[in-house]
Amino acid sequence: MPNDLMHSLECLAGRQGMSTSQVSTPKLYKAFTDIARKTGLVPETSLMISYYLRTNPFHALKMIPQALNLLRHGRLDLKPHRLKPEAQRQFKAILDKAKTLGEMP
Amino acid sequence: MKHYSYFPACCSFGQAIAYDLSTRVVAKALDVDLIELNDWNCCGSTPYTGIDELGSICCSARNLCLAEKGGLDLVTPCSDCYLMLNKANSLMREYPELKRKVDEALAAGGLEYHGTVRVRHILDVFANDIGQEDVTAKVKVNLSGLKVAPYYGCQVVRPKPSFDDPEFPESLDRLMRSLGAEPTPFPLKTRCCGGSMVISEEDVALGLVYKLLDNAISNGAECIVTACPLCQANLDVFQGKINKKFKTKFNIPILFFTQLMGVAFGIESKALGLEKCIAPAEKVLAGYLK
Repeated sequence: MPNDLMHSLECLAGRQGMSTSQVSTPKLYKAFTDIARKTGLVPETSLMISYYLRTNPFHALKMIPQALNLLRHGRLDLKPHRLKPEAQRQFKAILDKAKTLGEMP
Repeated sequence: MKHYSYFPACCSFGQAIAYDLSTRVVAKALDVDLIELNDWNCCGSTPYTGIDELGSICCSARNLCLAEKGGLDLVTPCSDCYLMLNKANSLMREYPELKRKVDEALAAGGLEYHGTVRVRHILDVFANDIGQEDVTAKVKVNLSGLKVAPYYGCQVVRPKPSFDDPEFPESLDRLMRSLGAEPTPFPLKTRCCGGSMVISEEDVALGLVYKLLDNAISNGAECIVTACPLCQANLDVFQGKINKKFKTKFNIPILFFTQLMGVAFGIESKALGLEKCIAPAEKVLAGYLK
């Protein structure tokens, strides 16, 4: 499938340090992956904070109207979310093992 | 009563909370029992795939293992989770070498997967397992006269053909008709909204969303219904920004299709999270709300 091919190329580019600084999507993807690995879940607020801290925190200012709108409408989730400790240990063990198995065959 | 394992998705905590609320109440009204998967984790969504493909498959595989214990189909309202869970499931079936690696990773967490789970989208369940006749039988408020653009997004019927045509899907159109609403022509109904690029490549994504809104409105839609949480967020949350950028005056409600089903079933608006729409839905739905 063409999109699977694109994801494979994204992975390769990232591993070989070929991503360009002109686009920040790889940083967004990296922020997402780090949060997922750490907590097992990816709430949007954590993702936004992590992404803007990795790029330019001042760029977050232009999203303030959207964030306030979400907050007013009860759609900005400020609570932390993570798996229960036992589930988190299991999830981490699976991903740690996957890391040792190399790339997609 | 029909029973399913339910995967709510991470977006159900925040911006798509109304999708989760309305899915659960509409399912109840249709005698569908959604049993939330215990200890589910992130599906290893698109961004994860762009960093670590094997890791993302393993994220989905853990959820499939948990679902397999219950012996039920695994259903989710999120198009991205549907795509990822389905993709992991089918890749493991098609590529034994990949399955071997995933099995090894799962074993480190004390799990094993036998490949018996069927992954479903909630649109598929309501449109096909329940079907038009049973949906119509539950309608208390006929939505006659309401012009609705059915927006599928790019993930629910693609990349692999599943329960509907990948280019010209009709299941959402039929579901809207079964409520009495009138689906409008929407040539861009399977086009991408830009997804999470609205954060990292804002101009590109806003251009895509502008085309979608313009296409729906110019075909006579009074509201847009969607089966994808990311599409709903992009079309709803960024209308103000689009109006500034493209000098337009869009103010069209973007609803989850489950919210409109709930309106037709006579469920009160708060239980459907209608007040959570940023482009207000009350005016368009005034004649139909309880």
